[in-house]
Amino acid sequence: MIEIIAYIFIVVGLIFDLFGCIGLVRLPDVYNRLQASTKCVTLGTCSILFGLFLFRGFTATGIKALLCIVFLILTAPVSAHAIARGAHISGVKLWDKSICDKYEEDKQS
Amino acid sequence: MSLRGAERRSPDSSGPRSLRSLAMTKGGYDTASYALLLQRAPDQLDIKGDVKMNRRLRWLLGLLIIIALFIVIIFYPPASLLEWQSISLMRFFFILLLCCIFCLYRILRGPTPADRVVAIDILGILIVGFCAVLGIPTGRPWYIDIGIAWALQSFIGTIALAKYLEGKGFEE
Repeated sequence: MIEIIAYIFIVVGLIFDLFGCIGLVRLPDVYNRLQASTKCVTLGTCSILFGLFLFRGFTATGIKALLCIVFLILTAPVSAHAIARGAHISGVKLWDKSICDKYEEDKQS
Repeated sequence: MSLRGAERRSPDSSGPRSLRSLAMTKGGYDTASYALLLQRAPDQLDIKGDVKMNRRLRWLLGLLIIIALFIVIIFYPPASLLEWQSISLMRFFFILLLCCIFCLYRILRGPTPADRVVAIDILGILIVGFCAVLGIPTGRPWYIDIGIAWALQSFIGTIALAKYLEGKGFEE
């Protein structure tokens, strides 16, 4: 029973990974790509690791998988925010159909 | 490619065509004869077309290599994959490989450096998931250790690349 739940978690995580990478290829802009891929791939990988934890239980491998989930959830938004800030400062233009750029207004005021 | 073009144009050695084949050496265009060609026959130049053809050939070669890799893994799997005795886990493996190939496409084709940094970050996170998937059927506990170490290293590398994009030093 618990193996079936673990498999479901892993399959959901793989689907999130695949959609995130398709978004990385298909979307038009750096910021759009960052938004799609970071959320989807981080959540998908965390789901795969949780499936591994359900497989192994509270052994050394399972605890390490939980630690890895905590580490990914802490670090992925930080790195995504740093990349977005660096891209905006280095002068990457937004997509021409984007309607709102609050960071540019903040920098000008 | 350029060498083959020179050989193809060598038979009719008269007029500006021979000049063009003379300007194309093995490594590309020789600068002195290129300047001579530019003086005498500027309408014969289509360097941009040659470069585009070169790039297309390289892409085709890489695509063929990747397709051959997939065919070899699917039809002649290595012994470590045959030990798994679980077809569904092999499919998980292939889906993650497909995601990695999408990331490689974005790293190669990304129009700005920020695109490449995003794709490198995503590739690091995907490799952590890869280690987790590998740890299930093999039953070896050290795959998840590799995953933790890779996540740490990928985070530090991404922060460094983002600082590089901002154009500031690390001490600020």
